[in-house]
Amino acid sequence: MKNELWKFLIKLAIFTVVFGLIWFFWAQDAYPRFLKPIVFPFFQWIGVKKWRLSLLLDHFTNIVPYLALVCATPGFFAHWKKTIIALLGGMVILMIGHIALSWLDYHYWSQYDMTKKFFRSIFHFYLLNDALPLGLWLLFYPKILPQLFSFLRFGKGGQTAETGISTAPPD
Amino acid sequence: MPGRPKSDMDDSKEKASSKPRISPVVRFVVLFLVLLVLISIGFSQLFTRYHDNVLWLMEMTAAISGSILSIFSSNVSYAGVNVSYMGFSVEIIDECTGLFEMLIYLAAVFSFSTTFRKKLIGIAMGLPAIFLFNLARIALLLVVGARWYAAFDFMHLYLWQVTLIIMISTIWILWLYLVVYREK
Repeated sequence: MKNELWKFLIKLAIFTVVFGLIWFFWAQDAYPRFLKPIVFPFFQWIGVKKWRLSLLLDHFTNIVPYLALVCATPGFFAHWKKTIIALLGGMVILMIGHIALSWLDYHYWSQYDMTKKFFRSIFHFYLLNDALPLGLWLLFYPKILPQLFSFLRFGKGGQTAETGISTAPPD
Repeated sequence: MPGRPKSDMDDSKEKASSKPRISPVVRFVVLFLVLLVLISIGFSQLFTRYHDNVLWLMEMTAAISGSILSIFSSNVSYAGVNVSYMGFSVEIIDECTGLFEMLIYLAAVFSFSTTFRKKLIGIAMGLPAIFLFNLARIALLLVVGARWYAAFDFMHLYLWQVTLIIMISTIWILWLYLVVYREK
C-alpha cells in the first residue's frame, strides 16, 4: 500500500513537470487555436465579442494537474478503458468549463469592466474552475483515495457506505 | 416466535433500501463543489468590501517570507507588500496570501462527513498550515526568480495549479489521518 502511494506521488511529480513544460512551451498557444472552431461560432451565437485570453489562459492551466493525476493513477494500462474514459470525459468537461468561463468573463467584464463588481461576480467561477481537476479525478476514480490511503473511508461519520446503513433493532 | 405483521412502513423501508444509493465519494465531490461556490461567493462579497482592512495580511506575508529568506542571505529587503531578494522584487497581492487555497480547504473539510468538533480542529490546524506552506512557496519563488529568472513564470503561473492541489490535499489528508480517524 505504501509502495503504491509512493509510486503514485513520484509519478504525479514527474507528470506534473512534464505536462507543465509541454503546456508552457507549446500547448498554451495551441490549445486556444484548437478551441477556436468550437468557441467562435458559440460566441457569435450568444453575442460574445471578445475572448480575453490573456487573463483566461492562466485558468485553462487546470488541464495540467488533471492529466497528471489521471496518468499517475495506478492501473493506467491495466484499466485502459477506464483511463480513456477519464481522459476524454475529464478533458471534455474541462473544455466546456473553459468555454463557459470565457463567456462569463466577457459577460461580467462588459457589464462592470475591471471593477470590484467584476471580481465579486467572477471569483467563485475562477475558484470552481481551479478546484475542478481534483473533483473530476475523484469522480472518475471514486475508490482511489481509500486505495492509496488505507485508513480513508468516505461516508457517514467517516465509515464505509455499508456500515453507514442503520442496524437499529426492530421495535 | 411469530413475526410482526408486515406494514406499509416496512414496504417503504424495503423500497428505500433497495434504491441505488448515491456513492459517498460522489456526494462528497458534489457537496465540495457546491460549498466551494457558496463560500467563495460569501468571501468575494466581504473581501471586495473590506479589502483595505486585510492589507495587513499581505504585509505580514511579505514580512515573514522576507524574514525567512534573510536567515539564509543578507541580500533581502522587505517593506509594505514588497519583498526583494538579490535585486529581484515581487509584490505580494491577495492571491499570494494563501486565502484562496484556504477557501478550497474549508470546502473540503466541511463536505467530509464527520463531527463538527473534528471539522473545527481541521480548520484550526489547516489554515495556519496552508499559510506556512504558502510562505515556503513565496520564498522558493523568490529564490527561483533571483537565481533562475527564466523559470520564474513557469514556476509562478503553471505550477500554481499543482501546488494548490498538492498543498490542500496534503493538509486535508493529514487532518483525516491525525484527527478524523485517530480514535479508530
